[in-house]
Amino acid sequence: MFVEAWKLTIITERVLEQSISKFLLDQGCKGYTLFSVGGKGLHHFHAPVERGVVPEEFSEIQFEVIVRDRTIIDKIASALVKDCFPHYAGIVFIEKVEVIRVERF
Amino acid sequence: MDLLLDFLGRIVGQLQGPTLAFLLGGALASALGSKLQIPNQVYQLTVFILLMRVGMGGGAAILKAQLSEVYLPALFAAIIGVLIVVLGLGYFSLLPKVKKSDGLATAGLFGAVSSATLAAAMLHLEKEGIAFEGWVPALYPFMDIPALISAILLAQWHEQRSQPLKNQQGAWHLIKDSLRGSAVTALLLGVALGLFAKADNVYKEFYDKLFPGFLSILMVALGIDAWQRIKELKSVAGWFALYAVAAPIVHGFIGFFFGYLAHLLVGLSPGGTIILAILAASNSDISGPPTLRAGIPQANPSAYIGSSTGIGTPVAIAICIPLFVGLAKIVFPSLQ
Repeated sequence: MFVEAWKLTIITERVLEQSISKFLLDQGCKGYTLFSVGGKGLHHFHAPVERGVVPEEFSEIQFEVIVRDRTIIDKIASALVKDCFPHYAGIVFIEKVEVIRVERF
Repeated sequence: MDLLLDFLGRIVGQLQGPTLAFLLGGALASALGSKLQIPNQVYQLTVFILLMRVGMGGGAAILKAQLSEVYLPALFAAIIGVLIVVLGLGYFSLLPKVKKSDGLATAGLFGAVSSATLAAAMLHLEKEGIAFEGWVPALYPFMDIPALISAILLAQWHEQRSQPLKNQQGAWHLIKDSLRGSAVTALLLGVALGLFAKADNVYKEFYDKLFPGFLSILMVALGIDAWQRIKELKSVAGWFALYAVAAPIVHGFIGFFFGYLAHLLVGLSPGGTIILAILAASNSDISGPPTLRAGIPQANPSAYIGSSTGIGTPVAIAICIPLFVGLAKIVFPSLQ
């Protein structure tokens, strides 16, 4: 019943939300999940959006995308590293997952 | 000597005035490690109410104004916005070890306008009984947008960079993006409502009455943020702190000069001249940073947000407002 697939997680600045979500769909992903997150990394501390005053675009977001085709994931990750992460904060990692309703991925 | 005493007296008065006191209170709470926070949604609502009030007042005033009175100050506002960026580029180019993109982003933010500073200036003038044309504060986007866009275009011109995921940002795209920003949209919506809807009642009974109270909340929020941002400035060159202290005052003088020119040419009032000076002196805390983060990604946000929110806004409110009211009293005998 369960089928193997890849989950790609992208944590980055909210200012990139529109361009990344469009890019994911352009690359053939059928959907994604989006979270508001916060945390601390090498870049600096990112307060979660609930804190006042920080312009909202400076908070962090987390995309989760599940796809079955690993080549799509590699393409997305290399485009992000080349185009976004020289200047914007960003973390990307993948995990193996198992999904049902396989036609959705 | 009398002038200096008068100015110092005004600064002390400003410190005691509610606006700056709230700002300092917020900063003090933050400095003491308080967990006090103004939730983001409240902050957004506060900015919305302030700018709707500015916009509606502006729209209603445009109805009564002659077009010939408005267009020259509007043109001057745009010229001031671009001029501030060019001057900033000149300043930062002279300095060693300052990245051009950091300098341009900072200059762009200082050319842009702060709704909080503008609201504080309006309240200050109303309290002092100095009249100004209601449409002058609504010149906000005429200065804000040209400043941000010229900074971004100059930065792109200086450094051909790869666009994030190939989303090209031409001048028109940038203008559209700025117009859609939450602050400018609230202001333009207010102007449209002031122009076309008979919204006098809701303006007087709601927005106008809420204005001082909501401004005080915004001041506490900005005070908290100012303290947090000053710490970030430590990681960048001291030239940014120097710029952040001097730029609001220099820019205010440029704005005052253009306001005085508009006074001579089309009869802009002394109060309008002060507001134009404060628009020039102020720097964006809210709508500018995200626009610049998207437009000049190679610039370090700590440099421009630290300079602007950490130092520029407190200087504009504490020093520039009393300074240019005092200057106006010298230049325009009718105010005395």
